[in-house]
Amino acid sequence: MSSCNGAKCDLITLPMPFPPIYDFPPLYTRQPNSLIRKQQLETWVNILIQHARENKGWLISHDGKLLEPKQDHSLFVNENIQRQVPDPFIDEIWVYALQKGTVLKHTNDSFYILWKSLDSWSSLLLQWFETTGKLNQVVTIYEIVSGDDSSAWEFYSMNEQICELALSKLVDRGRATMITNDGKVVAVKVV
Amino acid sequence: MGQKGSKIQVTATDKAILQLKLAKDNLHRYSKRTDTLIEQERKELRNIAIAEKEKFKKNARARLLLKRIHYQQHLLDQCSDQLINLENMLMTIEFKLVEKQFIEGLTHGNEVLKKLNREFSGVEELMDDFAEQVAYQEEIDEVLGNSTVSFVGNFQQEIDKELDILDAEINAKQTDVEAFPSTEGLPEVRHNEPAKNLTEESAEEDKALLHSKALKKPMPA
Repeated sequence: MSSCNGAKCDLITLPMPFPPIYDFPPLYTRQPNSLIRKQQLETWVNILIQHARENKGWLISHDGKLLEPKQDHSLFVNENIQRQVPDPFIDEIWVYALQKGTVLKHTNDSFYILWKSLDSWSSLLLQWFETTGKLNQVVTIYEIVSGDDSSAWEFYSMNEQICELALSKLVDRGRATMITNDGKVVAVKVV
Repeated sequence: MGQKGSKIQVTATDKAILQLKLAKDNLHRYSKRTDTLIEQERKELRNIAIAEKEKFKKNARARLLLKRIHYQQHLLDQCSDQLINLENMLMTIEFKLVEKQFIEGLTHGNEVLKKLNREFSGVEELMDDFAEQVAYQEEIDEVLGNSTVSFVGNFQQEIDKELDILDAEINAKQTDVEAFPSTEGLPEVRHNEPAKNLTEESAEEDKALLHSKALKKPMPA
């Protein structure tokens, strides 16, 4: 680790606060005007992405708690201003996020959250394969997301399922083949 | 895109490597888990130490924890040894694969070389043939050269004769000039005066000529 002193270091390690609008009470009420509501939904999706990126979150529950890594605090509850998003509107946010492709359905009440699109992830993965010289080799998915060679990369600790989805983009492009073991995708070979 | 045609092959070696890598991943996972476990137990031990300042050394729980930590440390060491072994093995396999490719490349190159050399097998015949042809060409050249020489030879005498005649003509003229009587002893000719008169006369004549020409000239319309 590079040496850093005092205030500068704190700035880096402190998670970025939510945008000011997160503390804006009307954000927690479903806006009747459809044009404004669209804006509101867009804002919520951006907050979702930012929250996930800050915490390196991959899986989020329906009520706004990150499951990976586990957090008890819900994104849809803001204690600072004593507001929380009502359930029906939460449903609407998820529907909108699903439509936009920001989240993918995992189970009935949890979602994979993609703070980068699958295409961006797949090209980042490809870059990793190329720079670490792992082309034309069998590489396990565990190795990609938890191995020592990837700890400096953004996808370190990535959810394996998301990783598999991103890799399948490479398969579509003819750059990779999945290798299964006991009927489960466990490794990949990229050329 | 264009690469779609070539389906990536998964060979038996790949499968074998996969098994090794899965084993490695498991070890990796285990070592991580043990690491955090040790970390936690150390923390717990410290907490006990803080809570029971004096008698914590006799606390059975603390002793147990320490034993566990040591045992787990031992396991972790073993695990990392095995991990290194597996990694070495994988590296060796990967290197062998590269070597295999290297050998394949060599054999392939050798075959190509052989094939090319086989194509060169007719080269001796070809060179012999070529030398023959060159020799024949030289022969022809010689024959042709000789014939030209003999052709010139026939005319040699006539050419000589002609040259002799030419020589005689030119040289004879020179001797004629030499044979004229000499001008020595003759009185000198006075060039100046008559020459002057002559020029004046001719100038006048010229003037007259010009005048008549101008008269004869038709008037411009």
